[in-house]
Amino acid sequence: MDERLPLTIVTGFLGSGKTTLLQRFLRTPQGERTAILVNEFGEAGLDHRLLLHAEERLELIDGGCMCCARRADIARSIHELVRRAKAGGDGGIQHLVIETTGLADPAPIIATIGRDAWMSANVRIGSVVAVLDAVTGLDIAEKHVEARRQIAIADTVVVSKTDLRKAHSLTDISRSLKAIAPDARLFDAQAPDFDIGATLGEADHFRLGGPEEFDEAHERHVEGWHSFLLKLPEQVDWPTFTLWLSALLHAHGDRILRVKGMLRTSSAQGPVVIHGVQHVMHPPHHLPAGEKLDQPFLVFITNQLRREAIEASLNDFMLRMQPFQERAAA
Amino acid sequence: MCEVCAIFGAGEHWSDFGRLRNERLPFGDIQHYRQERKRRIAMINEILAPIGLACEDWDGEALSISDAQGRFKIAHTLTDLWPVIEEMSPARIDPLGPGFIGTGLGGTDFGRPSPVGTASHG
Repeated sequence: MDERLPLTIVTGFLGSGKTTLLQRFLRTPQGERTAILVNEFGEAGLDHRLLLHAEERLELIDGGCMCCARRADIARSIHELVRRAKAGGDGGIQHLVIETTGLADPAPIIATIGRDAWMSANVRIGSVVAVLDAVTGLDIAEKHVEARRQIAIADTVVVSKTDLRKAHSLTDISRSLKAIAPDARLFDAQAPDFDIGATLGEADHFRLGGPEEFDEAHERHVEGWHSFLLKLPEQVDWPTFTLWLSALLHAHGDRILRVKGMLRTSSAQGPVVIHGVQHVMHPPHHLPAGEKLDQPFLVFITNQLRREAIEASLNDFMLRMQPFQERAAA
Repeated sequence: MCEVCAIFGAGEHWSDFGRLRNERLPFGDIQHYRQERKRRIAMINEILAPIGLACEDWDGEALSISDAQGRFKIAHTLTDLWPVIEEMSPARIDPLGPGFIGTGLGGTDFGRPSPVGTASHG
């Protein structure tokens, strides 16, 4: 059983409605045992004042921006929250939520956890939720790279303010987001059946996904951003594949917003789910041996990297390393 | 190192989780990790040979990269490996570049131009 504390990262551009969403969440049963870590920047005064009502669950981080120099502070804050959770204090913290600033890039937060052995052993990233304003969100995502990055890294997009007259329809938003978030779950925050507690509180969406929404015909491009699917062979050699992917992320991780996939490997009996954000890969998730996987695949969301280059590179590497695979099998 | 069996070779890098570990009967896992590690190092040497570097297993725990002068550096994981190679040679590791394997990594501009899309609308 995974005893690590689940973490949800709530991101979204300035004014998208992150705090409102968190306030709703804190009123749910799942929210009651959730520690919220917020950052003070920009709207911070408002965030701070409103979120102070959350009964000492708040951890404010002083000064600076969460996305870069603040990583050590985030690590320290999470460390403290994990310690409290293990001690059983504060009514039993069972979940962490980090609310990023409107301009913050969530990737460094993920990297902070992924690169720290202690953090990785104690915290697991369950979900990255991007909040998108139904009125202005698409326009903002087009104009601001920060907003695009937030959406690209998210596995879940919650659309706020859909009840306003000038709001775009969910269908339009879904269509527009496909290039940067091809497989993200999309929710209308105003829908009667929207379960904020489950969306933010029972998060384990970050690792898993499927190719249902995606095939080659749906390769998408917008302003240099590409999202595409690579079909993999029925089985890949794990040492070969990991060597290639680690080298690719070393060289181009800054432009690979996300990579995820489900594959069959030489090492595992069941399918293996992998996912990473920029330079950081998370430990693979193993599915049961009998789990069905018709078409192994990788999904990339990139900035200025094309499918053809990555596909050719992988094929070439697999081919050239084949003698080592055969030698091992002999 | 595998915490269950205290045997070197099963690290904590994401690439070391190719197999779901059997915590009760880890012997199969140990053999498996040793074999995969051996093959991985052979592949790394295939990449390094043209630039005069070599990779050896460092007690099943890390990777030792050495050059012809006998200098060496330790890379604890695959993520650490590539920067170490770049520190020890003029090569730039880029699987999308023209010479990732076989033709040598050095002496060429292994920047990002050719295989990479320019600003485009698809």
